[in-house]
Amino acid sequence: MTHSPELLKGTLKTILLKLLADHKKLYGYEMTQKVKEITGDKIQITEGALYPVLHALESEGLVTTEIEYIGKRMRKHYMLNAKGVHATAEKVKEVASFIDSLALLLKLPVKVS
Amino acid sequence: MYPLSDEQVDLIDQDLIRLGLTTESVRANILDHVCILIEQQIGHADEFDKAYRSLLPTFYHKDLREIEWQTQLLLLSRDHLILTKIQFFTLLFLMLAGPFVIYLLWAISAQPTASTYLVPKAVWGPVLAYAAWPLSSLIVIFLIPDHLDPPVPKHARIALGVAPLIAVIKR
Repeated sequence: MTHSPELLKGTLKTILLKLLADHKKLYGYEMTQKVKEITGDKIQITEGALYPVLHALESEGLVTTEIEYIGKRMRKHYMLNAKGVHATAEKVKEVASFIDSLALLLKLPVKVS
Repeated sequence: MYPLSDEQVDLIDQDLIRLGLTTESVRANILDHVCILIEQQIGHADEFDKAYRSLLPTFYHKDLREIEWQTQLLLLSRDHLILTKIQFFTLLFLMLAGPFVIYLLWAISAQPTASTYLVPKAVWGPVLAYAAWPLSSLIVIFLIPDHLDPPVPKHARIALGVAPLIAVIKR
């Protein structure tokens, strides 16, 4: 069962930051594949959600990019910078705490942090 | 796997622009993503058109402009503003009012007469002329819309901010 994109909305930034923290550098298509692979297809990041968030992360100065040219097209590789590493730790903590609260609220036997 | 030709890549890029994807870095990412998926799907040049036409609608619900709007929306979020509006306008006010306040304080302490309070042209003229640079710089640095793409990096903003100074010096 694939999770609803609505559930992902508030956590996509954190997912992408964590993904970049765990891998040296990734480009967009690779990120979608990694997420699919890790979650066993339960989470599928759409292109329409992914690229605006990557653009925002770059604009916020949390990631740096490296351009690779494949013929006429450009491939942007994303890497976490020092500010991004710090932000990732904060955001992961925040999401973990949110999941705990959600578990309490929904009476689920889950403990993340 | 069939590697797309430069003409096919150009065709997709132009189509993405036509469909409203104007933010360059997002468009470049989508272009690469589309190309990867098509290259995986097709084995021959003849299959390109059909594959592209059926693939693109999977990127959006109603319209490709959704991605553009989402990008603008995220960029306009307050999180990444350098200064809040209040901070920005306070800074502007201080820069403009500062020299006058200092002059008045100096004048009052030196010669407390009625004419002291009339700031002479020799003071406010140059102040306004030289304030033109920091004011213009601030406006250029902080009011460049962040949705301009590629995003104007901070060093470029500072360089742009220096341009009004050069204009003042030349004058």
